[in-house]
Amino acid sequence: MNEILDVFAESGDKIVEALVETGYMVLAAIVAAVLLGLPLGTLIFLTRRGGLVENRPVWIAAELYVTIVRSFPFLLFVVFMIPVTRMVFGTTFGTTAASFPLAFVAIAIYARLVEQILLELPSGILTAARSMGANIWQTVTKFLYVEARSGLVYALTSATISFVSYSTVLGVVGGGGIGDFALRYGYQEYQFTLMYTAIVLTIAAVLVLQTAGHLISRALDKR
Amino acid sequence: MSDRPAPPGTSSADERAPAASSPAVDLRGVTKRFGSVTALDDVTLAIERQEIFGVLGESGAGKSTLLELLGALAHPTDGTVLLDGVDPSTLSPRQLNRLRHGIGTVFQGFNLLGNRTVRQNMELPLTIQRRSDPELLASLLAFVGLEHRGDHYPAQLSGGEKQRVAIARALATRPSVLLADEPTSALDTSTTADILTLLRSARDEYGTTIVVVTHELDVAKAICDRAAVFERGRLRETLTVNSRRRDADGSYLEHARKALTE
Repeated sequence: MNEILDVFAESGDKIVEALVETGYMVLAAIVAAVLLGLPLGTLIFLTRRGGLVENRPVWIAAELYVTIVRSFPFLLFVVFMIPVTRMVFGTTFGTTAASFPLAFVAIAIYARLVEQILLELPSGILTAARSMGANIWQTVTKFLYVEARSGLVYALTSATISFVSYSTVLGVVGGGGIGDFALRYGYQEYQFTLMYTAIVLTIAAVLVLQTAGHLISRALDKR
Repeated sequence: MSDRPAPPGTSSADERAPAASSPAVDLRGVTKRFGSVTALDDVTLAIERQEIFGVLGESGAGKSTLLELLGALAHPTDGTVLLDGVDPSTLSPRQLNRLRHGIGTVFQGFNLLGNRTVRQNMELPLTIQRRSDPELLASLLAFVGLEHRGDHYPAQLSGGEKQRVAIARALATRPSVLLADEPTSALDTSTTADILTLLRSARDEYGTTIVVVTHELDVAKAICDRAAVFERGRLRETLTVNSRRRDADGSYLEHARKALTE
């Protein structure tokens, strides 16, 4: 215990900085997942064979993106994306640039989860929407998302925890973060207490996220 | 049958000017095929305004397909479907949605949104039409006997209560036609009687034409004015229901004929 306190006394500022970096990258990933992953997953659901607006080319394109990005080993994906990152940000280094490849993966991961949640909804929801003369937008926002909302929140929680894990790899492109901190100052400089402290902090953060997601999801579910 | 004007909510489709005398539903030589399967075979049928009309048959008789056509959710392969004098197959997707606003549907499985309260569920069809009418909702809640349940969620209701909400929801737009798909098949006998009474009073109160699709002859017997018996996609016979007689043995058609007419 005393050792851990010593670690904080010595490296507290660096730990906080690393946590903020991780928070920044994960937040960027969450924003990308919600703003683009949710629509993409919905698109896959709607354009699938027998879907509300069946469209093979769109479905295939969306499926390809999700499948390829998800099956790409993440470290290689980060390296693979370096030219694109440089084009967009003018640099490949730093927390913001490192968030870029993570956002692509976040979109793919959440899109797949969204699609699966929508597929599991009772078909009567869609039947009701159609019979009432709801258009596509109304069907999605007033029927599908309403019934899926607890699942969508819970899936975002699981996805976020994956994002935390993925973000630890981003040290290779100067993303920083708690994972990078543990490796560089802990593992490589033989300060194992520092390393374990970082790991414990990460686990604690994940537990908080998990619990919060679970509680929100449960409060949203009236079914 | 009646010269009562079409209820509000049906008048919004701009290209529709139904003659008051045209039947609520008019099928002329309607055939519907799915690949090599003929679900409906040359069906000609007129349902009058404010009639409670039964569609009877065992599974595979074509009842579900007929319901899709009546709800403007599908178009026939051959023949013409006229809903309030309008042929849905001539409408654009937007006009089709507007036509559907004037049709209420009640389902076997209720199809309520579990994350919406009773009142919010009833309001859904109005929300879709960007309308709001709290007074109408209050009167409908009273009509279906759920005044004190408006803020409850469907999970807190019994099956019969859920179907009452579904009926109120279907009536919220004051549709000219209400389609009921096996509305009592998920309910027990006494609840069934309540729901049938409620459907009948919907017709009496709001002048709604009601089409009840069912495999249960007792249901048709209890509320229908007329009923069509379907077998393997063909309309075998349209019967005028004599509500004073009971049923007998034999084939489904014989059973229906005896149960409904004698």
